Amino acid sequence: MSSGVRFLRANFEYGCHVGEGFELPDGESPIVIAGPNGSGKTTLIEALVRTLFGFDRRSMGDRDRLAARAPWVGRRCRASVEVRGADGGLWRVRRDFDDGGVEVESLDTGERWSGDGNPAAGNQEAQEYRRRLAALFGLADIELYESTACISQGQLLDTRLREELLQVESGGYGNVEDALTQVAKAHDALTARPIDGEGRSKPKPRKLETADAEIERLVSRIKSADAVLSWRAPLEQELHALQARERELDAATLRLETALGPLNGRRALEARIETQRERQAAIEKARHRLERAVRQLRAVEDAVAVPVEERYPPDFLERLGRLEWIWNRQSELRVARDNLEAEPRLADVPRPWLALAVAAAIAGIGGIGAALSGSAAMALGGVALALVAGTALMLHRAGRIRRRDQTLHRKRVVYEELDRVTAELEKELVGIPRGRTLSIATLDERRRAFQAQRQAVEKLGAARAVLEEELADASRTLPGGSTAEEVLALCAEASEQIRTDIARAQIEIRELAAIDLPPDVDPTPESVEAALAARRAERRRLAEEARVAETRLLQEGTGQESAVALRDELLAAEEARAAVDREARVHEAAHALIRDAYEEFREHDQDRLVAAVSQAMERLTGGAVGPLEAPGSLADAAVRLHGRRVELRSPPLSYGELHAALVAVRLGASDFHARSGIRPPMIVDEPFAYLDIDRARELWSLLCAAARERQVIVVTQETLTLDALGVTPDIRLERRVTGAAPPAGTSPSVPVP
Amino acid sequence: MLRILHLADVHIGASMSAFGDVAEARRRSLLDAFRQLPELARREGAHAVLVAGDVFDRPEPDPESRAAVAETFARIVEDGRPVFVVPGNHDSSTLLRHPWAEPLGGARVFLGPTFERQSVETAGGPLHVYGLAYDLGREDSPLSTFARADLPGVHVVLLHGSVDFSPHWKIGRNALRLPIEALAALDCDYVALGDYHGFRPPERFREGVRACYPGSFAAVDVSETGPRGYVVAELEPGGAARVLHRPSAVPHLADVGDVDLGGAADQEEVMRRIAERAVPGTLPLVRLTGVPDFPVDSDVIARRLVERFGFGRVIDASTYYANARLDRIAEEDTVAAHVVRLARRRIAAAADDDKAVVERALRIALRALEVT
Repeated sequence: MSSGVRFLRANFEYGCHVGEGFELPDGESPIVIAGPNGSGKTTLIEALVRTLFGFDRRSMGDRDRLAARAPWVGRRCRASVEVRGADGGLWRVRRDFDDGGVEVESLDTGERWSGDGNPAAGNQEAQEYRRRLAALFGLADIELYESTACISQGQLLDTRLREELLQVESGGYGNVEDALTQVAKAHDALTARPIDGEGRSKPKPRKLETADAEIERLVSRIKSADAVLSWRAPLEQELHALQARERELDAATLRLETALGPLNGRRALEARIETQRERQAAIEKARHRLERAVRQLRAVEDAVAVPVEERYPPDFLERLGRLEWIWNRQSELRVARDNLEAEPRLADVPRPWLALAVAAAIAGIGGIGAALSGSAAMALGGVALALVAGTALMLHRAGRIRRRDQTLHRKRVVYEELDRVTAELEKELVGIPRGRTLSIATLDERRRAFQAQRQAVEKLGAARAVLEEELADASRTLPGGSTAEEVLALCAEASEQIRTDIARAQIEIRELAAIDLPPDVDPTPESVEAALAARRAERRRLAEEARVAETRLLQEGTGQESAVALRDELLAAEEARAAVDREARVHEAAHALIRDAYEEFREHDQDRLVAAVSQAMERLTGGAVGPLEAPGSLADAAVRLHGRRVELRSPPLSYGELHAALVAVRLGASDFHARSGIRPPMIVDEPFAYLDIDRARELWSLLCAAARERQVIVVTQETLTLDALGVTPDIRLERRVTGAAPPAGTSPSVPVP
Repeated sequence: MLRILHLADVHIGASMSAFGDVAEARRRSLLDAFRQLPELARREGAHAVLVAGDVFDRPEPDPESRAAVAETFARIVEDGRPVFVVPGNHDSSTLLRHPWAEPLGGARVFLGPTFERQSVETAGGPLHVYGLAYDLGREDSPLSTFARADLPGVHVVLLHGSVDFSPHWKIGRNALRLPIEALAALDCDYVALGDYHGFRPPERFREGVRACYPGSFAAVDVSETGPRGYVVAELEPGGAARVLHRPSAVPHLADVGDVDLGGAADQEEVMRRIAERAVPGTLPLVRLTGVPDFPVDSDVIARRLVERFGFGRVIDASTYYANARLDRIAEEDTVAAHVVRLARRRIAAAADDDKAVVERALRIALRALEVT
């Protein structure tokens, strides 16, 4: 079995072939389609070829031819061809000639593709179809096919080896063009730069340019971010200088504060010593004064020491006052007593009867007078006078009695008063030394004695008061004691303690470490405090300046983007860009590989074509003709014949040899252009025309030889020749009558899909 | 004993551009995993959560990310676990606009240029965290500002910076440099670090340095292979930290290593070989080596890996050009043969870097020429 492509089956609505199906037998013999003129033989093979290649609607000739192929019965012009590819795969190609659409279906897998089958269209569908056609059939260009393996009636002898054969590229050496396009397309998706480094870049940016732009943007952003850092530099320096100065000040402050502790400690110790000394002095002073008061008191006490019986009471003077009054009273009372005692006795108080007698006398006198005078008034006057006299007498007696009683009363009072005064006197004399001898006469003496004694007591009191005062003072200085002795003991104890404290503080002062101070600071707390205050003030000022600088740094020197993050992003972008660039370089290298390899390959095109033709000659003639030789131009090509180099024409070649050579040229050129390993079918229209039977037999042998390596379809009306060759047509067509169906049994038929 | 959950370098909002088509899914996965922090802290029995910088990848995160972080922090705090955060160099607080300007879910964020201390009483005992937001402009030697408080409990320093081996060490001035001597001088029980994306436990520091890098929470580019997540540190006053590294829920990148294509009949065979070595649930990184019998299409394999594992990165270091089949093709008189011969000549003459380019170009050329 040959590795060539084979037509297997066809169904047409094309020209005269309406609803007709054809089975093309398999085998290694030429397929013969025979029929008289007008039977549609040429239309049939044209339908086979055009189903694959279509018509170029931009070509007037093609349009006219297509118009002529419209089915006679008015149906749509369409066809279906089943093909076995060089790899054995079965494919069906359907074409609708009216719209140029094709459908390619794998009969093995069911995969279908449909699209524009216009051979001249430049759209992607048309290109894809041509790629598929080239892959299936080996050729995608009908002109190339018709100039090689598809031989029209009478064209075989016109076959020439032409330079044009070498200039045909598209669909020629494999899928070089497609490959280049494919690689270029992939490259085009990656970058706008030209794939071969020449020409102009595409205006629209692709992945690489987009990546470049992104990198450029990132670099710019990083520059901006870094620029911010540059702007920050002076601000940072300023801030750092301030911070350095702050640290210096902090260190100096710490040094001063460190020194201040010992200094203050020393000062505190000194102050403590001073305080203790002052306290000690106060205690000593209080002690001295207290001791003096005690001494003075004791001296006074010694001075005023008198027997108890000779001690005047403190109220002696008051008593003297009272005694003096008592004595005077006593005298007065005695005088009164004596006077009272000296008054006459009151025992002869007139009796009451005297009064009555007087009254009666008077009354009698009156009566007598009245009687004498006979006057009642006299009588009455006598009576009244009697009454008055009686009353006066009675009153006189009453007065006498009253005076007597008064005198008695006064006596009793005087005596009682005298007794009371005497008792008071006794009472007042109690506690007075030699009270019995106290009298008016001794009064002054006793008063002086008392005064002397009282002054002594006052002295003693004063001494005691002084002592109390000193004790109170000392207790204030040193509380805890209630008596002078206790206080004095406490003073002695405290004084000793203070001395110890002072000694201890003095030791502590000596033990204090050496104080580290700046040279400009005196080792005194005041000086250190002053230095600290100055440094703290400067520190505050610097802190404020630093705050301002920091604010400026934040406000003016702060970017909006992280340079580090951007750099990471840039790294990623550069990696991505490198990957795209590498892929683009890979595609450029691939493109260059294919292009350069193809150029290398094309440099040997003529040799290859000549070789292909020579191989075909070898296969067709068994070495009788050939090989072809073309050391120069193809137009000067010659064949080797029986050891001689002869021109490719007859004579010197015989007619049969020429046929063989030309068929070999056709097939060799076809193989040369077709993809590696693919041999398109050979179609020969009326090969036997004008040939005698011998030449026809030679040609038939040639075709049979060709059919061993590829499908050969022979269309002929030379039935007599066929008969002479003993060839039975595989498909026999009869002359057509418009609108008539083909006679039954003239051809194997399958339904039009 | 006090347990802290220490994480850093979450980089929420990172472009994840290295993950190509699955970048968005990866970003989503990262955010979802971060949202699980409260549950993780609960499960780990952590007494506090410390985040050592770069929570966000950018100083101006999108509102959704910021809200998610705030909500996550808030849930941790509501659980009774304090959250301490220092800004990183990606979300630095030194910028005009940064995510820390407003409170974020109750997290305690250190924004001063010098060390500040925040003390809390936790169920595990007193915890004193010292942190700072590095700002060279405001403080050029921030580490010198550390002063340990004389308080009982665990003392932890929280920093985002680079020790001397880290890549950021030599990058701009925005990166806080952490001399190892300065780290050793920090008188604390644990130094919770961030910035370096690899896990570096205390024992991998110099003796006397109680520092730890938990590494990135999830890989943000394909160079970060292996498990990524956080650490749980068990701390005792004055004692050595016991650190356990835990993976986050974000699938990690697993370096499958070299896969020899020698003898592989087709792409399916290659996929089988990769699948045998890839760990399910991880994102495989594959390096193809050897001499394949067919022009391996690493893009196709990468796509297949994406379909199967959610992500796949293929480094094709195989040498198809040396294939015996190409020897046969090279002997033919075809364009493909010329391509092979020409490619081999060019590979032989190319510099090492360009060899791979021509090698891959050969495959593309042969595929374009439909030589399979």
